[in-house]
Amino acid sequence: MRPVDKVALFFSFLASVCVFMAIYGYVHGAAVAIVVATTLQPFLYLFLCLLHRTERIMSRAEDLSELEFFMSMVAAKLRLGLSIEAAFHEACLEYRGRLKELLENVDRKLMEGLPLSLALSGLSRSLRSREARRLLMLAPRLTEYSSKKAGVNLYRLVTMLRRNRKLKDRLWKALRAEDLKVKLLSIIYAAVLASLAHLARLLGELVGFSRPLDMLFTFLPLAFMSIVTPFYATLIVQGEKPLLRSITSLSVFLAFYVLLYAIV
Amino acid sequence: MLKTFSSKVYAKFTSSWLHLLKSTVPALSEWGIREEEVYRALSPLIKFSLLFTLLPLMVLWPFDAILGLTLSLALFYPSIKLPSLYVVNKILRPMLIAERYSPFIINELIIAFTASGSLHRAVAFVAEGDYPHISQCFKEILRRTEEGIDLERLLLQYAKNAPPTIGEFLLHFIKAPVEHRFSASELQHKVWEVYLEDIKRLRLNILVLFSMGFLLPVPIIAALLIRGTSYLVPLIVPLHTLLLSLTVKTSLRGRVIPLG
Repeated sequence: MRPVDKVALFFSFLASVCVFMAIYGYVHGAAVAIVVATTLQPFLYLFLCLLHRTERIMSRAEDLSELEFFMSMVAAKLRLGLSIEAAFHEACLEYRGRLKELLENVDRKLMEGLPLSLALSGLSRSLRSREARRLLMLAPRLTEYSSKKAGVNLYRLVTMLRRNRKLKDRLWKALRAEDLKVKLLSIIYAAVLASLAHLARLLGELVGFSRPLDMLFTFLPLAFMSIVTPFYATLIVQGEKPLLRSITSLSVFLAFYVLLYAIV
Repeated sequence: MLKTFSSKVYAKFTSSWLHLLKSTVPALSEWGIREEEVYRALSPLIKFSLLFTLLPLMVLWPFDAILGLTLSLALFYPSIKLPSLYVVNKILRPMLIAERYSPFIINELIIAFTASGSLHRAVAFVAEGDYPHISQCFKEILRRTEEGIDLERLLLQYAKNAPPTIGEFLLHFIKAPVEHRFSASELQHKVWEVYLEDIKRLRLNILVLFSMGFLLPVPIIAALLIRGTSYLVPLIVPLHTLLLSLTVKTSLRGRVIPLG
């Protein structure tokens, strides 16, 4: 069973509240508004769940880059003519990275005489990155070559990974640049929405519709907008913690509204 | 008797309609897509297409037959064009994505073969890569090899229906895996090109989303407030949420990230 998409649930709730307000504002019937809004909410939730099912196009596969670094050390040892077990052991001694403990386990198993494929299967299960696990699929076959050839092949594999990593870094930087724009735009956007909410209040007072409920019916949707837009904007630039951005944007909205309320 | 006759007429009518729909789909044989596949994808859409065309005529017939007929005629073209667009998108899009990312796939096949010395491992490596269309097809090929069918034969069969670049590569690769004509630098260059194009596209998508997300709602809300229809302002929230999530979904769909 799929876990509950909390964001979809929250956003569908906000949307239903807005639907309730729109219907209540138009027909002034609370019962009709509640029925329509509560009926709509599950559909909105399901629809949003479906749309939220998007994989991250960029993910920093730290396991993979660590593994790549370790593999390059093994490749260098193999090219010197060491056996795969000896190369692995030597590389393990020199390696100081995050995967040290896991790799030492593999080394211990190799020393006990376990075949490389079996020794690596435990490591494969412990790694979080799917890409890293995929890379380990190829390693066991290296034992079928002479040490030097295995070293050359492994070196080629590592070179490909490095080249690809450069490409990914470029995309990553491009996305980070856009992410900065999102941060800035989210703040400006919240301020603009707060200004609009304040303008609505002033217009309401001007034409004599200044009941608290009327004010709430424009204030709340604008506050909700300041939550929703930064969330999706952060998602598209693959930014971190989109909900936190939404909360920041909402805080700016509230702060700016209070400020305007105090001034004008 | 009458029932048999009417079912025959209905069958003939839907079959003609299906042929009409098929005639609007461009030729996809160069992509290895067979006519049967197109027919198979089109057949569930016949009812929708027919209903879309005939509904105005049926509903308006008692009131205003001319209007019903006019509307039905006006809807005739979209009702046959929309299913054909849907089918092209459904069948061809994964192939186009696979073709676009073919340098990535070829690169991985070569490297995986060089590292493992096994065609089976190389195919399994790409199958695990989540490449649109290709990974699924490779998984199916690997499944069939477990039934005892020769991998090379299956790959040769697949090469005929594969996206052009991959198909051409596979034909050479199966015959002489070491003597393929793709150099590492050439492939890397192609991968760079695809990637740079991806960055451009991503930036454009982000620009569209920014304008939709940050700019569009403000004037609309302002207009609603000024017009005195502030009760409509709340409706913007669900519409905006759905629109944004749809945009994010479509703009991130089908992207491939190379191993590294």
